[in-house]
Amino acid sequence: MDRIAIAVLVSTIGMAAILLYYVHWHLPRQFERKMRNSVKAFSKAIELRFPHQVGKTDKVVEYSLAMGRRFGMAGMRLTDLEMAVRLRDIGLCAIPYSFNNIPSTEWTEDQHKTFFEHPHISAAMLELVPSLKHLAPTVRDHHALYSERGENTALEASILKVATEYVWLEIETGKSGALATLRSLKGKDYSPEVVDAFLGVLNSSGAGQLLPEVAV
Amino acid sequence: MEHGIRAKTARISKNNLSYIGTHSQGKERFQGAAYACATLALVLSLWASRVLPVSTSFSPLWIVLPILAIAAEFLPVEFPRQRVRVTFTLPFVVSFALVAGAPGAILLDVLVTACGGAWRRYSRGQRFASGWMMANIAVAACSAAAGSIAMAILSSALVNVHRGTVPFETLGFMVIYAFVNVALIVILDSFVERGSSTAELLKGMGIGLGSLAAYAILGLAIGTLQKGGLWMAIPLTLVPVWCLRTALSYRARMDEHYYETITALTLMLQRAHPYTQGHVERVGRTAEEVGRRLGLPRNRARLLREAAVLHDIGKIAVDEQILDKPAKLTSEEMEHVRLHAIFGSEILAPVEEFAPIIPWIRHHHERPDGTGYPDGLRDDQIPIESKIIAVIDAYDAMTGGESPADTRSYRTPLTKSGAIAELERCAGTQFDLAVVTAFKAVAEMGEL
Repeated sequence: MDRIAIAVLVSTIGMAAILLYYVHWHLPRQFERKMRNSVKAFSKAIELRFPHQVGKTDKVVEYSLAMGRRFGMAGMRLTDLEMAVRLRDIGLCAIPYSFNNIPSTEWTEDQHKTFFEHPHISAAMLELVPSLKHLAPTVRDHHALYSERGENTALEASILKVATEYVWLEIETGKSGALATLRSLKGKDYSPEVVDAFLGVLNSSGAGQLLPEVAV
Repeated sequence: MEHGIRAKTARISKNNLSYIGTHSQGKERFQGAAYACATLALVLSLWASRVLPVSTSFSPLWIVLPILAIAAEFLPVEFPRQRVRVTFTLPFVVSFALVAGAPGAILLDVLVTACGGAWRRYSRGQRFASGWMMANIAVAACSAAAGSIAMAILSSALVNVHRGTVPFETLGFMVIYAFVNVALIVILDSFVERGSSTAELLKGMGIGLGSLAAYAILGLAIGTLQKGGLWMAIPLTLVPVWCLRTALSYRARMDEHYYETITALTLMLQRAHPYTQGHVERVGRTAEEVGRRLGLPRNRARLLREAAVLHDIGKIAVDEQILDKPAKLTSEEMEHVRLHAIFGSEILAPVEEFAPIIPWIRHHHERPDGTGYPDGLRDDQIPIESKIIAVIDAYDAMTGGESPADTRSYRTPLTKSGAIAELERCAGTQFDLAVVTAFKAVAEMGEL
């Protein structure tokens, strides 16, 4: 048998192994990194328009991923959950800039209504972007009431609702006030399973700090 | 491109590139080109069959290689933006030429082209188009015949010079094949589309030609395994073919994601400030044209277009009541609006592909006299791309658009000639003189 042919065979096997590593490990991560970076650009735009949003998203990501893991999410599902968190508020770009100048506690009913249009606007925008449109249902329902949507709400959307609104409530009413609200609205505004998972995340992480294994 | 007859143009050659574009009004021209191509294919095939006749000795590779070629044909990668499809059958076709001679290679190429093309049309519910199929088959046959002729010439030229001629024959086949393939696609495209899409197509060709090195290595491997008696190992080469296909597919997805990011950011801006919709589209379109006129390379001009579309992205974070205020802005309000240049660069910063255009966007309000913002750069510090955006942005702001929403609220729109006169008046201080001159030339050609 030709020695050169054997050398070529060995090289082909080696090349196949390297290429398999490249396309199964390197490229998926590279693509995921690019997706994550572009999503950060959207978040940044919203943070610049509504400065009170600064830092909230990272906190919501942290809580959402910790809850997602508790529900057994992993891999792409967890990545999509993070994407949905970061994209949930892109519709805020359509909310008047003047909302910056009024504390949310002083909003009129009309202003509340306008503000809570943003999940639908976010979802409508995502539906126009093929690689992100699968996140639209989660984003659309991230402020939906459990009592109205019930089991029709995706788990991801329920997680987003609890994490997003807890972070908001914590800023406005403090940690104990936020926890009291979550508990009192469990089964009404919030999915009971998700509230339990969230309380579990907080309890397992000591004084409000997430343990390293549940943090991002 | 959406009016008139809508027919598929050539999928030119299976092994590497397929042209999957549409043409709207060139059905007759297309059929004429397809007949010319078929005639050329016939002549080349006869010539190739004389210089590289069919082999009389049967081997299992007569069955193995066509199966592998068809398998590779059914793993295509499409780049819809460039209207190009890449498949990976070339290494198997070249090996088949070594086994079965030119007629075998040509027939195999034609077979996979026909099967692949028919299957794609069927799976998409498209009507079978005989002209389209004939053009594809003809290009495939021309490419395989030309490759076979190159292989035969190299074989006879090197037979007394070098002991192992297989690598040279293989490479010769593939290089000529790729050349003929690309040339015919471009000729057909420019003939049918009258050159309108050839630039985009050529960009797509880069993708296919970039894969030629990979084809070459695989082709060499298959040829050597076959000649060395290890033909049973040839199916193993489907693994690297599949990996290459996956890698290209990721590249296509990344490419598409980049444009989707631009689209999504633009959507956000339009939601925040609806009047910007027409503005950014017009600025983007004109910027590329002016950039080309100023000698920017094609890729840079394309990037400039993307930068121009995104140049006002920072206005997402600007109060729309100030931007749309129907009166002169206070200095405080002006400072707030001016922040949009910095905001734009901050929004785009996380995306590494935007790195080259971020300075262009940040500096699109700098002035050659050094009184611009945000950094007060001197003339020689301002990127030419920023200067181009500045001129077109100002022109569009002065003239407004056709829609009432495009008319800025705080000033009466100027006529086109009035706006150009104003640009010329400010050339050298507010605007770059060369850019204003190039812009005026584009405007005079009616390309705005």
